[in-house]
Amino acid sequence: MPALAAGFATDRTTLIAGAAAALAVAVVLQGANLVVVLVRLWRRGPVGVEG
Amino acid sequence: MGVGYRLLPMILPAAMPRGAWPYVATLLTQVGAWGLFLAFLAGGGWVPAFAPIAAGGVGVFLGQVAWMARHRRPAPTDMPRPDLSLAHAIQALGYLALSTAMGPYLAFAPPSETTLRLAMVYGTLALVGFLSQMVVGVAGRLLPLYGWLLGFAARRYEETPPSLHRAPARTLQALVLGLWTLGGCRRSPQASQPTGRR
Repeated sequence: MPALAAGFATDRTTLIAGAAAALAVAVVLQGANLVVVLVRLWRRGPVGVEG
Repeated sequence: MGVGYRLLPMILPAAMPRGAWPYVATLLTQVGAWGLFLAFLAGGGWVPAFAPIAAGGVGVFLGQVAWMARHRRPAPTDMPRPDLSLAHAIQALGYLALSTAMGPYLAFAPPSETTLRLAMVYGTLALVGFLSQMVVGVAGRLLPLYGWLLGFAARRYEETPPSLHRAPARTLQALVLGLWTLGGCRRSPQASQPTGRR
């Protein structure tokens, strides 16, 4: 957080935009995690194997 | 809050609150919320009367969360530590406590430039810090359960999928928690700064 604050320009709009971008990336990564979960639980193993 | 009464015991895990207090929290919150809605429609004069009622309902809920924290149950043995979904939930509840404390102040404080900025902070704390983050935290626990059920069905209910607690990618979870912490912290205090340069 301090790094983000110091690294970005000090004006308010840029900081808020940076925070919004961080949250947006977090949501995308959460979606990616969902894909990982589904792949690991749903497709791994004897899925679709016919006897 | 309603979802929290069901899902927080699962996330912590903890005993489920029983007795009259959940009803008290629900009643106070509903009366407060409806009262605030109607008071705002009527021009805002009655807002100070209903804000403490709504805050009281949320306060009772937070008290119930504290009760859950004191009545923990054993966690699944294959649950990775630390539990990152729980970290989201704790952080979200902290934001809820902050916004709950700010609400009555904003209801009673005379309108000014400061209260206008604080209102933005209040909204950010409640919507981004609490509500959105609680969804993210709960999703971290519910989506693996959903995936596990899908996997079980795909295996024709004859073989169990791998542990749902080990399914999420820890790196992605940690990144999501870190980014949400950075973004939430930054947005909240920043909105209270005067316009222009800090």
